[in-house]
Amino acid sequence: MTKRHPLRALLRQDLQRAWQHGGQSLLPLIFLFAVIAMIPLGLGPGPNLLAMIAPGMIWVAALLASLLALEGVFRPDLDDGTLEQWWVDDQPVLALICIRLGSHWLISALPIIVATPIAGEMLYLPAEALGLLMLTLLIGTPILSLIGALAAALTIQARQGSALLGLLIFPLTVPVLIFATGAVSAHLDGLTARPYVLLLISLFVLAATLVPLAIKKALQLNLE
Amino acid sequence: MWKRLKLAFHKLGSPPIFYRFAQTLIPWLWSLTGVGLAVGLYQALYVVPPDYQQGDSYRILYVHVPAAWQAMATYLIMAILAIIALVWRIRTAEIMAMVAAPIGAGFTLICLVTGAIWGEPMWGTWWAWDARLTSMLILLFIYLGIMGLYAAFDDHRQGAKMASVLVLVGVVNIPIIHFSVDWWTTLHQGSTINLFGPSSMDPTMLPPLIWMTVAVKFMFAAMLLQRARNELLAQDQRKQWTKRLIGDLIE
Amino acid sequence: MDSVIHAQQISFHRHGERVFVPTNVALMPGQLCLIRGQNGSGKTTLLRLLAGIVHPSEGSIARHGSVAFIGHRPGVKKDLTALDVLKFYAEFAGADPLYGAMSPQAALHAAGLARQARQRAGQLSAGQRQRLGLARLLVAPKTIWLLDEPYTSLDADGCAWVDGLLDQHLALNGSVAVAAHVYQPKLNAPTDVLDVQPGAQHA
Repeated sequence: MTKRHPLRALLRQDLQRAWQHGGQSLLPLIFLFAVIAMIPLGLGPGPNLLAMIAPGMIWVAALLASLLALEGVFRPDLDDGTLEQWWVDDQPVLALICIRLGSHWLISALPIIVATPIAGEMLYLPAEALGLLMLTLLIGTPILSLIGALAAALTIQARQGSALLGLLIFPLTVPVLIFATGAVSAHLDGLTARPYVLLLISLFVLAATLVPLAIKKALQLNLE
Repeated sequence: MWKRLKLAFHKLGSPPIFYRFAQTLIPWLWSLTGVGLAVGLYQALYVVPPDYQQGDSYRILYVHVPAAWQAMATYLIMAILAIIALVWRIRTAEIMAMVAAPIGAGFTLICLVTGAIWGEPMWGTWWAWDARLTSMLILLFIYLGIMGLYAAFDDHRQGAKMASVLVLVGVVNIPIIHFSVDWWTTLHQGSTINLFGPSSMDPTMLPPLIWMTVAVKFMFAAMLLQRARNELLAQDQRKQWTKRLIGDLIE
Repeated sequence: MDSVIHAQQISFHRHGERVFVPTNVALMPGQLCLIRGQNGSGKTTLLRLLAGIVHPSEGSIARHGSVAFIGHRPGVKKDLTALDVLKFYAEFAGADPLYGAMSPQAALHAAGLARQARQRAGQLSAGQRQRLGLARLLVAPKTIWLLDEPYTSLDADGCAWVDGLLDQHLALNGSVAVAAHVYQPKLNAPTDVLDVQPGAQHA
């Protein structure tokens, strides 16, 4: 007999499908660079101005890019009938949700973090801020994924769901944006970034404990 | 006692009983609102003396502050109704939570607009990224998101449940947003402009504020019940109890 | 023997109204229960209740045994190959030790899809996709099968194949509940019929 490994199976499938889609999975990353490239075109290429706004701009671009991949988090699974299988035969629904969120983050956010040095270079980001910026992205983007996935779960069956997504997500991500960019500017001002990073971590812990429960509830409502 | 309370709770969950309950209460609530507003506005505009620094322009506070308080209180009430709607699946609670959102958005907007009008003579600009105004602006977006989500479903009940989940996520998040925005303004301004602080308030200026605040509470209750009643009628227009009701009205 | 699914006076409420009249279900080992009813009578909802996907608004359900549910959307990812779909379910759902599991390749062969193994499910016809969805029952066998309109878009051969699957499962003391409104399964095993009545319009 074969023992079941639902979490492993889901993770494998998610990664396999992302690999098959290839370039499509990298769309958020390409979008990020498109946004970054627009900034000097709009504000002028002056290095001082760009360096000053670089951390905030990279964060806002990451926030916008994180919106793009959300359509695919749950909707295809609801449409083709695979989502309801999560609720059959005592599967660990909450853990499955976390796996899906994790794979979504790996596919949509990790490439952005890896590409931050290039984006930073394009905006003359001071070199000493790069490491911290990447750290805040590393802690902050999972929160964006959590909130984004919740909004996606709530709007699966809504009319104009994608237009709504931004309106639902942006207000809720204000604290992430403030603490993340606050950390970098504190560091550049010669102050300690520690409190900001700790606040970001606590935001992540809070979101990681509560949001999956809300997502489960929202998905359940979609199945009714 | 508990049993009776539970029974009353369940009775209010039934649309016809809620309708009658709302119908009897609404005129009273509006009358109390009228009295409160009349006394409050009279005192605010004629009785209290002008401020030695701000002159007469500070009087807008008597609209601005009650609206701000009500904007936040509405969210709390909406969250409680959302919990009742999700846990006990009581439909009238669901409807009240949903009709509370536009009212809350309205008070938030009043707060923002009066804040801007007040800011113009004080700061010389209509808008400043002051901590409270910024928090209020984000609160407005949250209200609009809830309204948008509710409106995006053809199935009202499905929309109400989804929006209720969002309301609860918001209730955890709003204090954090408030805190982070406070932090952000102190970071970017050095010293905060504390225009709306209660510190400089003279005791003689207090009575109209209390009158206005209480009047706004009654106004909220009246609007909530009235909107909930209308929504219920609109949703149930093909049901037996509304048909009977309309029949009674025609006779 | 005891029933594998025992449901007492269950119903589901949508918009404050019952979707169907409260129903008792007692599914025994080796028994097939045919759920009948007109369109919109709540057959699908009843099956989803039995599967545990939605919770009953009234009544109670007890399940004793592993469950497989195949809804009217067969749960097939269109961007995966037929073989990968079955490999996924073999790992995701696992097999109940009471029944022998087939390898994904063998299951594809049994479903008549051996030549389509490397094709993406999106390129298959609706009937082939339905067969692929049902082939799950072979790679990840379970005690209780809950099938919502399994004969949809199947040809005569396909219907006969499904009947064979059901007979085989029932012979092994498995249990099946099937919602079907057009095709009537032709089986050796005894068939129980459950008629679902739509709920009152103005409760």
